[in-house]
Amino acid sequence: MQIFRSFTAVFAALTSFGTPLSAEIPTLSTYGTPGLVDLPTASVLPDGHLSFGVSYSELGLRNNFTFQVLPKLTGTFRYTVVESDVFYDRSFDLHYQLLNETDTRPSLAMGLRDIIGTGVYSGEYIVATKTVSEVLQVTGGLGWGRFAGRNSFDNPLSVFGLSSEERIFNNPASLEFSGTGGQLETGRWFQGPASFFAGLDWAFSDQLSVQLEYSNDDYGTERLLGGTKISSPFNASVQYSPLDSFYLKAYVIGGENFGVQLNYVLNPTERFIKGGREPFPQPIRSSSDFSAGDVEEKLRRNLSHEGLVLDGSQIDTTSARVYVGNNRWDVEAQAAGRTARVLTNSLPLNVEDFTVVFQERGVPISSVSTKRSDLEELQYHYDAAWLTRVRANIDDANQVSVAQSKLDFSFEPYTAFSFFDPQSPIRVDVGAQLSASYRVLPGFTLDARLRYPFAGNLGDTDRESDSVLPRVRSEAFLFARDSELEVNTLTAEYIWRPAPETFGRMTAGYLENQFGGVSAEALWYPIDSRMAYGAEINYVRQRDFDMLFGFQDLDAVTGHFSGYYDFGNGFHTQVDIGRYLAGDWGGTLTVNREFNNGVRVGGYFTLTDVPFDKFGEGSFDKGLTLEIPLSFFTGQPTRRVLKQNLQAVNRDGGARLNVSNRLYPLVRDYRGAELSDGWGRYLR
Amino acid sequence: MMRFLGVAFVFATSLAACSTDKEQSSFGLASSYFSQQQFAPSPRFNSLFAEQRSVLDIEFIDLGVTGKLILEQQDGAFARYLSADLGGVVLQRGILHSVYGFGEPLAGAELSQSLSLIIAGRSGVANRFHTYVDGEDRAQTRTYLCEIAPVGPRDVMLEAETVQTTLMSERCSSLEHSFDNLYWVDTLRGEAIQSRQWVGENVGSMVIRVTRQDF
Repeated sequence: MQIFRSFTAVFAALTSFGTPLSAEIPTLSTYGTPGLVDLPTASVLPDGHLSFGVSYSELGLRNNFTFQVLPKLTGTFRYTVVESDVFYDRSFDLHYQLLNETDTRPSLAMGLRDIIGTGVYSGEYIVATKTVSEVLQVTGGLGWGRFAGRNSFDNPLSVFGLSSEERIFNNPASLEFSGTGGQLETGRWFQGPASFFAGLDWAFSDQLSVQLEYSNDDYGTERLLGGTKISSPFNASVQYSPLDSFYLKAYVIGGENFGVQLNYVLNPTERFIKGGREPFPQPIRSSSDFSAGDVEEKLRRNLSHEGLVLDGSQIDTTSARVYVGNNRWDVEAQAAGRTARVLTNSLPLNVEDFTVVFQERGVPISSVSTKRSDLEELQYHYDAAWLTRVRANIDDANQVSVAQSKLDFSFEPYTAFSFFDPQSPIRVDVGAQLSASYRVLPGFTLDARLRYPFAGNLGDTDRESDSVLPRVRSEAFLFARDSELEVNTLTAEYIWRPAPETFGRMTAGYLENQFGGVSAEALWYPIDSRMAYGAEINYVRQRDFDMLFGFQDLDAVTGHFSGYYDFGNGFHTQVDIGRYLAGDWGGTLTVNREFNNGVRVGGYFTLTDVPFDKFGEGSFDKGLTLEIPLSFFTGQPTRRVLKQNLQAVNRDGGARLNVSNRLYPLVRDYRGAELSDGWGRYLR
Repeated sequence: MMRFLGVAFVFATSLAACSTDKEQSSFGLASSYFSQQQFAPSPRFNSLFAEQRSVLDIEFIDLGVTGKLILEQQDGAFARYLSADLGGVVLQRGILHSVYGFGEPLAGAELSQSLSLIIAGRSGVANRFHTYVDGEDRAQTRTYLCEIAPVGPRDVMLEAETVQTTLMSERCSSLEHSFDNLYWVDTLRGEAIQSRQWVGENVGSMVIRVTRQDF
């Protein structure tokens, strides 16, 4: 028996270092962008790739997150810590490749560094890179701002009216510089003197390379803080890649400052475990070995083996309609396929037509109809994914819910994070969480979540809110400081289908940790549409800081009209227009790039009628989102998603209610486009 | 001290973590992922193991991984073999059709041209189609042009018997890949009982041997 061992685990081990990168990865600079040591090159990452990097030297700690947004457009978010006179800085870069390299010309790129932060690292450049041999790349460019700290000359763009006046950099030692930061500093771009820069990248092998550069960044702002010396314009680094996707670097800047860097590059189009580690699907039985019995009980048992919950069934002599909840499969089409397989195994052979109705919280969302004979005929066809999709029907499931009452609970640890507090860039509480959910009727659910923090520093701050707006979010730390046992949420929720292609939701109670009240929402989402529209209105009151059952005086009527659009090329957008918690009116634009396997990288910003100076630090609300399905790493199907929002600042303007189970994200995965997109795994 | 107690409480909570929904429990997911260390065959496998069924010996040559699978279902020309941890291999008359859970997303293959030449022991040219599920869950079909030729008769020692076979070679290529397969074909059974077959670019080639009632 021993020889029948777990050897799919061996494959997991063999493949779990990372995903194969789809093309050659350029060297990344200390700023996280394609570059040499500090300087940029005209290279780009392969489309869609992500890079996570940490670079540490006496000049500071740079935490970089880079995303190849489009084939030629690279975006980098950076969080810098300078220890000599502790300050924290968030900055954002854009890098655009104007021309790719050919045999006869170099690649050409332009870039904007630190365009939306405090401007401490701001600089602009035009750069060219040419591969002159299999091992050598040379780079040369022209830079402004930080790139022109010395050996500069008059701005060559002055013929277009741009200034040659010396640029004044914000002093990081006194970050109460003019303004509130966080805005596009377009008036500074390509202004002031310019300087040349140059460098080369020499590859000794696939793993080992050396970078040399001539840089005119004299680190003037860091030298103002003291303790920083720059004695040479030459920087150098050695890069070693011990494993696929990992890049180690040692470098020296200005002849004085030694540093180390680690980058991890992720290809989001390749799962870590090729093909996954889900169990071998059950055979589609075409023989007459069906044994009679309690059909529904048999169905329930067999579906539960596949992580599917049978909410109900209607079976007659030739057709079967089953109502299922999907607790396991992150690719919903795969859940449809697994359900169909179970039906072939569990129902008499005369039952030919199968309809699988997917339900969320006991409410029917969509149905997938197929025939037993098609499954039997196509199960071994090399093009089964396409053929089964063509023969299946995906329809809106606007019908009476069929679901039994159900109680679920869980007791688990939790973590709660807060980022970018100027006193402590990462705050976290850890504790225990008890969640309970009781579905009384189809669509009607009572939910409760209690938390008890055991340790952490979420509330350890003496930084009082300076907001002049109603303090709907800027006193979040008081909730952590003044609470012990926390009633995180306690709600009654009803979700229903008021009309075809339409969904409704009403929620009442303690809707989130800071607000309680009533929330109502409607969503119109045709089954085959890439577009959806929604509306939401809420009346809420701020909860007591102890997060038990009391309320404070602050209340709000808030709501939005929302439009959702799937561009069909991986880009999804959402526009919300309405009234925010602090009573401000405005809109939020969210743009996500989503990969078909569920990896999602996005950004959003909110502009309201609150002036930038009244908003406070950051000027307006904005942030980034990264989501990666857990199955992407483990290969095991699960609906768990690793998700992190990086909100630039937690201020009161543009703040929305965090009510659970908003309709669009709840139902989207089961609508036509999303189901079809995963059909490659229907029979897997 | 309080901080230490806090960490201890969190650790204790982790150990005590539970949920009515094992699919959503963090602890359940983590334990199922790492449970390979205390591996126990699944009930589905055990129920097959109790019966007298064919066994498939496999070895992934490049990875040095070997194992055995048990026949779960013979469905006409297709044989579905299951591993103890619910990986799977589907063979069509002994020729690889698809794999599940072995690091290669081979979802299916169209083998009729190759199959007719290999089983008949004839030389010729054949088209093959392989479908792989890519990292974004899309089915991608690749076409290979294959040259098939008999090498000669060979005796194959199975655990219970010696079988006379014809060794067939198949050389396939596409714009991106090329590979060589070998089949030891039992012409009486009309299937390959031993083979070396290319699975895909991730795991390379696999040696397969069908044995009978191997207990």
